[in-house]
Amino acid sequence: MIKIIKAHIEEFRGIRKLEIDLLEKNFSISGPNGSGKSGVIDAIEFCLTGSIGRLSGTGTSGLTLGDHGPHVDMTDFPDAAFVELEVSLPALSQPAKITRKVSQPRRPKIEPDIPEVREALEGIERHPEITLARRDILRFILVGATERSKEIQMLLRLDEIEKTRTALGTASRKLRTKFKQSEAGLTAARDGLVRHTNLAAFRSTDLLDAVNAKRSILSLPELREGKPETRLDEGLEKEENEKAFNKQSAKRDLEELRDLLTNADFGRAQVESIIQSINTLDADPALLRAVNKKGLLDKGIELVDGPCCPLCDLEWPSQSDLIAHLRAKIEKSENAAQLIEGLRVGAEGLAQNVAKLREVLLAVHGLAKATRSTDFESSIVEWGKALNEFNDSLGNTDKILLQRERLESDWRQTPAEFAEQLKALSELVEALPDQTDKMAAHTFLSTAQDRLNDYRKAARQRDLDEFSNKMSEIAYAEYCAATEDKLVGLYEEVKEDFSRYYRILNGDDEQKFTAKLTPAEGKLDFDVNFYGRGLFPPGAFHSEGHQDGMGVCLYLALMKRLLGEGFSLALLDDVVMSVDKDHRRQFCHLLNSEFPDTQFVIATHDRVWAEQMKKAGLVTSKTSLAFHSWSVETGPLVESNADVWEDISQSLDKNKVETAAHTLRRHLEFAFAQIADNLGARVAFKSDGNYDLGELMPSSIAQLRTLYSRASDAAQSWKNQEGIDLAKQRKDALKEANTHRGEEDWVVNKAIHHNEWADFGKNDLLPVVEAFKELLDCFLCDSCGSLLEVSPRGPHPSALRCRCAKVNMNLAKK
Amino acid sequence: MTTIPNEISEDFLRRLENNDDFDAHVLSLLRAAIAEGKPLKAESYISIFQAPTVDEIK
Repeated sequence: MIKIIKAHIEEFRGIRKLEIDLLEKNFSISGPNGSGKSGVIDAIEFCLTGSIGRLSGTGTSGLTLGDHGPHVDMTDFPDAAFVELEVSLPALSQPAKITRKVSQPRRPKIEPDIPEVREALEGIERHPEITLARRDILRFILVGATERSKEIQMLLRLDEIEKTRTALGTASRKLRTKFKQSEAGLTAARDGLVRHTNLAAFRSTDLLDAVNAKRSILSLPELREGKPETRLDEGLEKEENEKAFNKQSAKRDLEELRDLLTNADFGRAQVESIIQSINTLDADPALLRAVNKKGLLDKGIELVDGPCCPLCDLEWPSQSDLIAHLRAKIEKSENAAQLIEGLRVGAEGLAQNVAKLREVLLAVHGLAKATRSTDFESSIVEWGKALNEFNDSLGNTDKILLQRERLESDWRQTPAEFAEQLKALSELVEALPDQTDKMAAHTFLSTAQDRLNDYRKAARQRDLDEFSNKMSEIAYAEYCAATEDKLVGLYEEVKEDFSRYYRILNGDDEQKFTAKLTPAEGKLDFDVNFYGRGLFPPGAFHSEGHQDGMGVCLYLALMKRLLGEGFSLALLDDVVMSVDKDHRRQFCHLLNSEFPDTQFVIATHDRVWAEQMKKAGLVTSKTSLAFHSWSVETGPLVESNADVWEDISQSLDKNKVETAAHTLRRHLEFAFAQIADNLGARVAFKSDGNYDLGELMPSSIAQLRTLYSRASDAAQSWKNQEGIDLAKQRKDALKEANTHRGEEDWVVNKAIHHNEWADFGKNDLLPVVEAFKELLDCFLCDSCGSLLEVSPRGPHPSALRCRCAKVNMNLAKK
Repeated sequence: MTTIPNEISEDFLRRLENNDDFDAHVLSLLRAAIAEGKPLKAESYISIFQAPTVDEIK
């Protein structure tokens, strides 16, 4: 809830030094293009947020705050560039001061440095969108649905939502894949245990029977029940030869591996399913794209209301043709989604085969190690690594598509020599002498325990992964539901507010105006009603002025939703330049009526609009500022600057003759334009209205002289001696001042008109300044300080007066 | 000053709290991570969902 009381800007952007009293009220800054208005907006934005919107975004590469924040003559001294704001906060009884230097944009000085102020400032730093420039309006109104969605999502911080949703979705997919893989690992571990124990089925009682048969040979106590902590080898003495294995079990492992290598049906169904999906996708690349469009198409078909496509505005022969077209596309996207799902299911199935192969390989690896078949051992390790990589690829749709060649040949990619090495090991094992019953029982129990351990470990992992998968699925679903609920409500509120604001802005001709915001698949369609003829994109039929109005209304609606009561300040930089004067009056009404607690700082290049803001009560004379020009030396020059002579004097004291001459010239240009206007001075008409000092000053002097003569004549006709004396006195003063000014013409011409000040010193310019001050005083009331003006304006004025009426000279004869 | 993503996060956590199938320990970890205010990546969520629960799964 920050509002600005006062701003002090120094050496920042195009500004040298500027002090503005905003008084916590709406404030207008007007002036021609390039006069420094936007510099003020930049300065306030910088002080509150630490950044400048104009130096970021599209087309600003190479622009930085450090290099381009300070005044162009102070780029080597970024410490000198700073903005100081005196602000008010409802929670504080006294104002706070925020000072931010370009050299330390992230470390503002805050006085008093208390949590309330810091929190308020951090709140605004998170919302740099308090600034709206006309270029921003285009971001909302005239862009495509996808771009608009992005921009509005950025404004409302909705991009964070999409990132979170995507992250949760990715987590869920990865955990599902992991769960499927651990399920496959469990199946493989169970198969390994079943194969070793030679069970017909995997039942606890059968396992205990097989184990107890061996335990009785070794006179070990019978195991009566299987518990999670039960050890099948309980009481078994440790075998000295740790590499001993059970010969019969080993033969079954080797036989199993041989079968997996030679069985052409092993994984065939899954591979064929995957290849079929890949072939279909390859034949029609549009299918993959269609998957991403399904949601949009579903929404599109709901919106069909006539033969015009609600998605692209294309006109169809009939509504039924359009619906048939959309249905065909939806069917295609559904087919594509089914294909992707089929691909995934096929890959998960194949992953189970990979797990099975890895389990048997691991068992055989133990045999190779025990028999010191080192070459075979190495082959198994290398192949195991390759199978792991292949398995990983099966968890990713894009990577599966790259496996086509492998799948079409033999997915196992059995290493060369492997069959020979397996055969050699099998023969070696076969040739081993039969084990004694006790040895066989011993190795049977120790291996059974190892495989039971593997099984238990795999079961625990499966349970953990099942749990993680379930948590991620719930979280993803709940996040999507929370997002949908919020966004549907959000867009509904924004739409209602936007439509109401726009109706206020265009009350005369758009009372039935409505709008529609339609979010779908990362897009945000925005349609507006055009005079009851239907909904169209904003750029379709509405004028540029109406589009500007829409942009501001949408911005205000979004900000209201975004900040609520915290929407205490907005900086509007030339945002209604295309809106005509009648609608601008309504814009003032909109801001006054709908946002009475928001302080708007409005910059405009249009003097008429600045005056309208005053007349409409949006700003007052105290809360408006007009620049009449700008130069690199002086920065913006303020119209009616009471301190102009002091500014010039200070420049001369510092021997800044160039700056003083500039300030004087700009002030004279402004002042004589006002004077010529006030007095009805005659100058040759110019269609661009661009009159220079050489035209305005002589005609203003001549006109004032004429007016004094008329006042004197009128006073004589009325026998008003006081009037005669006043006219004479002022006319004489004007003559004398003009003479003094003429004596300095050699300097004026060179320094003021032709900018040749390089050779001039303070003492050359000082008399010029004094001469012009004396001349300008002739056009002022010495009591109220206002410029004299004729009344009424036009060709037949009847009086020459000032604002306080101390000067009130009759121009009409008796 | 609350933001829309914050509002959604609050609703999200509220929904999880009311979901009997969602683990309370995981919820507490998720709540703490979100409270830190930093954007969470997929790997962060995976770590949270994989966190051992108070009651170990048998």
